[in-house]
Amino acid sequence: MAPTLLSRIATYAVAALLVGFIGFPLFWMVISSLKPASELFVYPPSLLPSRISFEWYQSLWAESDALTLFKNSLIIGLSTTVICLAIGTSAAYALTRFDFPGKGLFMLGALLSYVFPAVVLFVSVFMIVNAIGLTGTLFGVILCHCILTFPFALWMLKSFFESIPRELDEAAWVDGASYLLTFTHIFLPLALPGIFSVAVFVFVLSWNEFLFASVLLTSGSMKTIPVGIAEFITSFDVRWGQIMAIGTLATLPVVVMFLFVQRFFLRGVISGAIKG
Amino acid sequence: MTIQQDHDARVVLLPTSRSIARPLIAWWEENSERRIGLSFIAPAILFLVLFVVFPVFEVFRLSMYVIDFTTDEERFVGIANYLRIFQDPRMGVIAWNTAIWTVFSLIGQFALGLAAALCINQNLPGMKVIRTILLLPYVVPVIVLALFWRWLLDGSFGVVSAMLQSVAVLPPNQSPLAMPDGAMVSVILANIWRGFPFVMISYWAALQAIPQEQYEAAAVDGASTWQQFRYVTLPHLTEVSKVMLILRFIWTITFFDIIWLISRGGPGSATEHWPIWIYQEAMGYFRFGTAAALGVILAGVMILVSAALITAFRRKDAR
Amino acid sequence: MKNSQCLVTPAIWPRLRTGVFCLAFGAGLVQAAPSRAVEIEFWTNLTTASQANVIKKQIDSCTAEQPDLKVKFETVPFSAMYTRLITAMRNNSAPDIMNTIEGAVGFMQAKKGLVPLTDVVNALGKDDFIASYLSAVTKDGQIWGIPDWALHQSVWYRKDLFKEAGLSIPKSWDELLAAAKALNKPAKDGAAAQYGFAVPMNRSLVAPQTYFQVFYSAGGTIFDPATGAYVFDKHKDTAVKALDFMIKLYKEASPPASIEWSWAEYRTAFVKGVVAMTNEWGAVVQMAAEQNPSVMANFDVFPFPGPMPNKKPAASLGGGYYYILAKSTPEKTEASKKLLRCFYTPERVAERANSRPVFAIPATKSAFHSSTYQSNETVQRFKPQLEIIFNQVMPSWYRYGMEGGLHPLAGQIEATTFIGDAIQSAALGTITSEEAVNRIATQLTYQVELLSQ
Repeated sequence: MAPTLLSRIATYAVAALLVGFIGFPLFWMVISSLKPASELFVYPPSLLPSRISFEWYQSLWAESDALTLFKNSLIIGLSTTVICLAIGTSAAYALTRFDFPGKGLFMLGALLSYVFPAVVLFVSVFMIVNAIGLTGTLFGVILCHCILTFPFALWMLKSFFESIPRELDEAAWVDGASYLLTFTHIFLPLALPGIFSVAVFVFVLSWNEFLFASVLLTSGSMKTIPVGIAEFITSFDVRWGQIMAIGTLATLPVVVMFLFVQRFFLRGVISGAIKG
Repeated sequence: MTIQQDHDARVVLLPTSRSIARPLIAWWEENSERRIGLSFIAPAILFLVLFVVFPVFEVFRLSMYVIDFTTDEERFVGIANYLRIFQDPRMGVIAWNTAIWTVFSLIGQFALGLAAALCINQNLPGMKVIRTILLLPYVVPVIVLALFWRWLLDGSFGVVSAMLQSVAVLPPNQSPLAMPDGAMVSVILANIWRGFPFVMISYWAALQAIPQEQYEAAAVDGASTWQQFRYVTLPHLTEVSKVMLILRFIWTITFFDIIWLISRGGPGSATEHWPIWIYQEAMGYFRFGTAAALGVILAGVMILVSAALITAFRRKDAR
Repeated sequence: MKNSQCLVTPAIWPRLRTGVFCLAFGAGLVQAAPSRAVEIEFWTNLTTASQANVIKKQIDSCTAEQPDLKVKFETVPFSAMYTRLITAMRNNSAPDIMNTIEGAVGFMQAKKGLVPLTDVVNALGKDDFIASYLSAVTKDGQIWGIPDWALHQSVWYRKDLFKEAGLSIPKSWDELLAAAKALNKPAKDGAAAQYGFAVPMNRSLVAPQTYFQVFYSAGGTIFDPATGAYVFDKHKDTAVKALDFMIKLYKEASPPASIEWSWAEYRTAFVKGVVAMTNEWGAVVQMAAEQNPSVMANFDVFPFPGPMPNKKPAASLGGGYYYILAKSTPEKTEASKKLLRCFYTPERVAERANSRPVFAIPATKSAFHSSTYQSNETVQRFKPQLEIIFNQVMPSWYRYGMEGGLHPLAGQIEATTFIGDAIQSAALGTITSEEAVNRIATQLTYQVELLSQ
């Protein structure tokens, strides 16, 4: 569709509204974290501060264990991604390349795992993790995050893999390559954009997960970022400036990570969608 | 006992009994593709069975017990937990809140998602940056969202409340979060803010897949922009919409974090929805049997609604 | 996907056996490694650095007296406390020493997880402690926690605004309402509106804290302080009156948004001049020091009044931080008790209280009057206010559910939102105060029954 002037204006207008809706709260958070106390609590609130103050960030630095939070979230996020993708890619590969007994049953089981998301399974997953003795360990949280992300990761991977022609693998098999080698050397490189985008998805889900992380971790040294922030708020003497500062700090790394990755992410989404 | 070894170097443990072994070995050797498939999917099967299928059955089982969490004692009570839930006077309110929350979140996310996708699909200058910005809510941690949402809506110093007060939508020093309807609107808006990038991206991918020729052919046939949208664009979006509707429905109706972190279910249970009820039963009252029963009921509703949607879609397709 | 050759033949069994033995032996070695040091775990709910660091320093100086003792120190936020405790108790990994609030003391004691500390209290001198703080953690004739410092609620007010309006200290509910209304000021070009009294009612934790302050001032309790019997139903009239008054105060003198205010909001409101009075725990002093120092000189305090002008308030809602000992091995218990005795010199008690001045007041007379405490700058600045609180408010207080001594109900009230729910609904007008009190009573009765099984 060759864009007419009217449609251009309309597009930009809608885009402006959307960007305002999305961007304003984020902008407000960052700007509030930089306002000195005297300007943070005025009525009516002013848009821009007359001077920038880092006092909230300084107080955070003195008082919090932000580094531990980041370390834990990173470990949990990366581990979840690796495990989830390892199991998921081989399963999706099997589903799209092979016929085997129980395939239908497996699909049913996978479907079951969509229908029973975290909150529904919360009680029994919690008690199982307890029974295995993994409460209070990072691995317990990693396991729960895998449970949360695996169904959708599997589904997304399956739809990406379906878009890669089976003929390529078959050609390799005919040529005598082992199944495993075909998978690792021929298929995976092609599927990389899709896999990468699913990896980003899984990582972000794990990074932001709150419910299980808050319930399963008994030690202060193992808190993740969402849990750390939530607990920070309910401690008895927190100020809004500090809250906005820690919010900014928690968002920044993910945004930066995402900016680097978004090209692959989007490419993967497109490639998965084009084949339906 | 014999050991089989295939060129994939994966080894299988075989039973010692010869009468089972021989046919199995024969099947194994003949169906190399099938067993490779099984090999690839074996870890996933294990994972699913242990950590999804088993918890599902466990939730059903737990829902029929009363459990003392510190001693692990269980007492079988049959459907007593379910009866207590249905007799609870709060059930109606919570179910209604859940329905409102789900329906309006979905409407908002799909409307905004489609609008955004249509925008960024245009090849206009600056769209790449806009696309990046519009994707951001996807990566912002929910707790951060909850926090700045509360700050924006603070009755005394929040900028959004101030704006609403200045045009007399709100009485002075009032915050939407302190009003039952206002609180529900606020959390729904937060959910829309958070969830629409996913819808946007899915629609955008689908839009990108529409061949340009179809638009050109329609233009040649004299179709207006609106008609092009209706007859070229929309049909391509129906598949994506169906899948996304079911997925987002499941995710929205079970989304605990955002309401809990913004309003805790208040004021006066105005925003208390089913997932919060589950959480309170489990982590507030430590009544795990009841929490499990609530989970089962929620799952039941989800299955019913999803099945109804799928049937409705199938029927539409068959037409 | 690697070249994994796992030869499971009959010949493997001896190898497996050896492997298992090796593992077990190794594990046994690790455990049997002679540990001359006794290691104990120390949790505190005080997560702010200023408070946690003081405790850490004191641990270090006290372990210098016990060279065999290793202390693993951890801060656990109050909101996560109950969940973590339950999980820890299931794993038999409950911490040895806990510095926590009275609700958790009741919770642990009910699960039979504590060691009685009557001997330590007696050794330190029972009369030195303010009696109300000991009776809160007494049960079956034993004392289960050592009072560390006191939490206290009184009305903090702006004496400059009182002077301007010509008001005197309210001595009854009616006078309080009148004073609050007199201090309402509409917004005027640039200045925010001012309200007389903040009534925060956040669903989680804050609503009960506000409500029970009013309820106790009128003489109501959940349990009888003398007999320990459940008496809330007998006090239903008082409960309804208290709720009615609180809601009246909310509607006529508090910002409408306060129905869902938590601590951050109402403290900010007082420090920023949005409200002229607030029922508060003393944290506004430090907040003002950071955010609005000029207003600090105008802070003053009076005890929350009772309903009648000629009768002093029966009690206030308070609380306290305590040190408790979880059941453990005899040598860990012995080491922990020694550490606690070291912790309880008047100087150390004063030092801990001073890590958050005014908010934390020592619960022992010796510490309160010690030079360490009195030489603190903030303490000197607010000496008259601290005297009022120490002498008038601290001797008579309860925690919801613990009026008759330790009871796990306190913890249960804090872990759930049924009280906040009922209060908010009554404030919104969706139910009457009677209905709200009935709901609370039903739930309380149910919980008490459950907890006594």
